Amino acid sequence: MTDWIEITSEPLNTEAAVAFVTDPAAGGIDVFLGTTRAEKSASGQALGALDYEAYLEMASRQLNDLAAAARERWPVIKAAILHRVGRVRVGQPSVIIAVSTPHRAQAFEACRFLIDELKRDVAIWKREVWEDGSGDWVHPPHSSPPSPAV
Amino acid sequence: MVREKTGASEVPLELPPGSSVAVVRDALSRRFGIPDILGKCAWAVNQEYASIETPLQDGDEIAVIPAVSGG
Repeated sequence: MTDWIEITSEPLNTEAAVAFVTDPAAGGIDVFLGTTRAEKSASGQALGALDYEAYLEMASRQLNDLAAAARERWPVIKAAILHRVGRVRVGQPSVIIAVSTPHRAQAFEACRFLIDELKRDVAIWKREVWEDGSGDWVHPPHSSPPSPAV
Repeated sequence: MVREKTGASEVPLELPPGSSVAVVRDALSRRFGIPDILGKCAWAVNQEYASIETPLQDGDEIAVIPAVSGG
């Protein structure tokens, strides 16, 4: 079963992700979109966008491994994990995760697992782009360097 | 972030046989003067997370992985 795993600089398409995971065997489809949230800087500047960058070979491998890990824990029928690189404006999605499973609890859990693990581990970074064009890399407050997989 | 501080995205290194990731970290720290930053980063060898003690082989690709922020 091939899942749709992609890192792309093109805008993400929610309908296409849902269409991909749709399956007669599925009783539930869960979709998560991570979107750029409006923020104000300390000096009152509005956030224009987030710029995403990936260590492509590693991130692609990690996303595929995550899909495999989800399949080991839940009866995933199909999964789509799409992450955008480049500039993602406020309100736009940087990541779409869609999963289909026989029952709804599995869909919720698998989808949550995929986004939580993606955010914790996958070699992708973002920097803020404020109105005046300035910005810095985002350092998640509670992050510690991921440890090697056991 | 590390690329911006060092001006480099790829750095070829020649190291003694049996070197670990720690040797790479120290070599980069000295070359670019950024021991504090590198001390806070994770490391990957051939696109898999590795520890500082991981031994290296000729041709290995070592990547500096600052705190990730995908999603």
